[in-house]
Amino acid sequence: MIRFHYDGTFEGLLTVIAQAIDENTDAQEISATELQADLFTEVRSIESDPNLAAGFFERLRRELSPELLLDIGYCFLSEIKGIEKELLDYIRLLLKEGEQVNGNYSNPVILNVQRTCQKVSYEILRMQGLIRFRKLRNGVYYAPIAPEHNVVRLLASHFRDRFADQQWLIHDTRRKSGIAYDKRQVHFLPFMEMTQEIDSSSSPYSPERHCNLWDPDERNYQQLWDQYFQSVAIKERHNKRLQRQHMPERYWRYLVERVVEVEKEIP
Amino acid sequence: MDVLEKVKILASAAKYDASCASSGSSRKNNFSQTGVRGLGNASSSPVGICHSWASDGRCISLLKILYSNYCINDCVYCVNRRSNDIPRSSFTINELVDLTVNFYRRNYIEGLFLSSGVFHSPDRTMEVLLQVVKRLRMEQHFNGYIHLKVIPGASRDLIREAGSYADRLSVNIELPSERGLHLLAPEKKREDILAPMSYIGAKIQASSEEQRYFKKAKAFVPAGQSTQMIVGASPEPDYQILQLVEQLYHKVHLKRVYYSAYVPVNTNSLLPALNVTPPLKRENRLYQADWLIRFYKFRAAEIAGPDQPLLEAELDPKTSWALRNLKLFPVEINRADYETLLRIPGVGLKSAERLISARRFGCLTLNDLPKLGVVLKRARYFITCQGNFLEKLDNDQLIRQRLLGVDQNRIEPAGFNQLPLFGEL
Repeated sequence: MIRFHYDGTFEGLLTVIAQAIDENTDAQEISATELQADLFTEVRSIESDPNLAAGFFERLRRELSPELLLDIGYCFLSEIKGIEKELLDYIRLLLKEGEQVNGNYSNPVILNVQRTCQKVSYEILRMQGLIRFRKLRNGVYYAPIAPEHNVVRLLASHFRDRFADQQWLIHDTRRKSGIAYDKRQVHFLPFMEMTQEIDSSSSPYSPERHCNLWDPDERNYQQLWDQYFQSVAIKERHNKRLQRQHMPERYWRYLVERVVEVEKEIP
Repeated sequence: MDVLEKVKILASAAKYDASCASSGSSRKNNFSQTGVRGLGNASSSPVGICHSWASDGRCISLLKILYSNYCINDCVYCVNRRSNDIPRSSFTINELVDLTVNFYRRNYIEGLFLSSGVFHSPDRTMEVLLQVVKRLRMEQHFNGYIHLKVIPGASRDLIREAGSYADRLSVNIELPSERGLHLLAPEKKREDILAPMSYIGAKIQASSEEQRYFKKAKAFVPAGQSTQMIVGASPEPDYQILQLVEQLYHKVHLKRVYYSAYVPVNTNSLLPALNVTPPLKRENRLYQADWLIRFYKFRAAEIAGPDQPLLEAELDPKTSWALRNLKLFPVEINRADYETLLRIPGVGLKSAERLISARRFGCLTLNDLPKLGVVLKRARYFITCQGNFLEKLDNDQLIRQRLLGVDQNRIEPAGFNQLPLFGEL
């Protein structure tokens, strides 16, 4: 059994998988974090090989449908611990048995990949809904996010098509990366840091921490939205548990509306 | 009155409308004549996009709001009825357009769901709603989702025009029977509700036919037509409701029927008292039955009938049906066809598909079933796996006891027995 160490890039992972499949070696673990060797396992550090990775990707493209390639990409971006080894097993299985094996949901490797893809697609859908843009003084609409999976790039086409006539910026504050749209195309920004944190502390109801980067009307619309959010709920059907189930607390941070009980505070 | 106050009044007045769907339309963000792209599109996702969830757990997808809560009608069940002493207000067209666009640009919403109290006359009201929609589409180049409520009694021309701008139209049927409507909404005529409904249905059919031959033919209400009915304000039993619903789906091709558990807002001898809790469980069971009709190929008469007028509170309608039809079970999970699998309690649309797909690779074992999404808690009494029973009980009473014993989280069927309330009717 071998534990592989790689550089955390998709290219790096493809290099590891290509080698492992080529040499028919089994991996105990593939990881981007530092691995400690012990008496019983060998640790192999693999450097990214662009040529090998590109060649292997070409092979995948020939043998697998575009949907399956996308699934593999989704799994990688899930950043779930241990997913790299799952991907190795999955790709090995697909290349050996042919892609129709993907319908065999009773196979644990396939089931796990499917579930991971589902998690990622579900978070993309959630982000498409829960992202809140703040209009800045310079006219750019800015949205901070902190998703569990690394989905920021997968949001590009949705927001490009939808907000084609406005400049916008989506910022993954957890991974310090982002995407920006300039009314022509979307740019990926691998390193992005804001000097000022914009989050729930800049709620419309705490003006002392009100962000001075905002467009003068921004606070007004935030207040209107919060008012709408509170007014549309039917209090005889009050069900905070259901609300939390649909919208877990980890997504509240960058919302504009106040999800916590606020009935009394509304002016 | 400032806009904040108006939002408070007119959103609160609109909240009893259950629909928030934003799916089913594929309106694109097209280039306008100037070559500049406009704002927004209808979601390409088949399930629509939810933008938030209110404290009642309901999804918020659209800006669901009334243009005005002034109303000339005096419907007994409605919070906005003429004779209620409540704060009244109306938007201006500008205010509403501005609100929609600015909410949309910040990604708060998928679009607008616009309804209104009837002020002045049905035609006058419908005209104003139509103006809001036209301003959004033509001046703001807004391609987001628009759901427009049709005001009963509005003229055909207005409805036809509305349908060419909106993604969805809906006429609320309000109450399941003519008698109920006559009692509780004396100014509304059943005909004023059903006529526009079948008119819209026919126009939708015609336009999708046209689009099959001419790509450029204009779409009419591309996300289809829906309706809503209030449950628990009038005495109709579930089987009557489901029969009506089946007709609405099959004859008028409605996309969705929404059920709204009646929240007592008014005091009236014809209505449940103010302290009666909304029949949420009943609403939930009706939605489950609705799903059985739309996706599981059940007929309404199989789910409930004159001998079984109400849906059971403590069991879902599919399980309830299965217990009445135990002779059709057990079903062998490795051999049954898709339609038969769908009828097993604890097997859904997705898990049935997965079962079919997975068993091509070999015989499925019991251990596989939960992985494929089968809920064994319910399914166990109704299936065999490679000829083996999980639990062999051929007595429906016994199964019922076991099912109810296992289900710790079930909600007590409070307020479910609505019939005695209307004993005199």
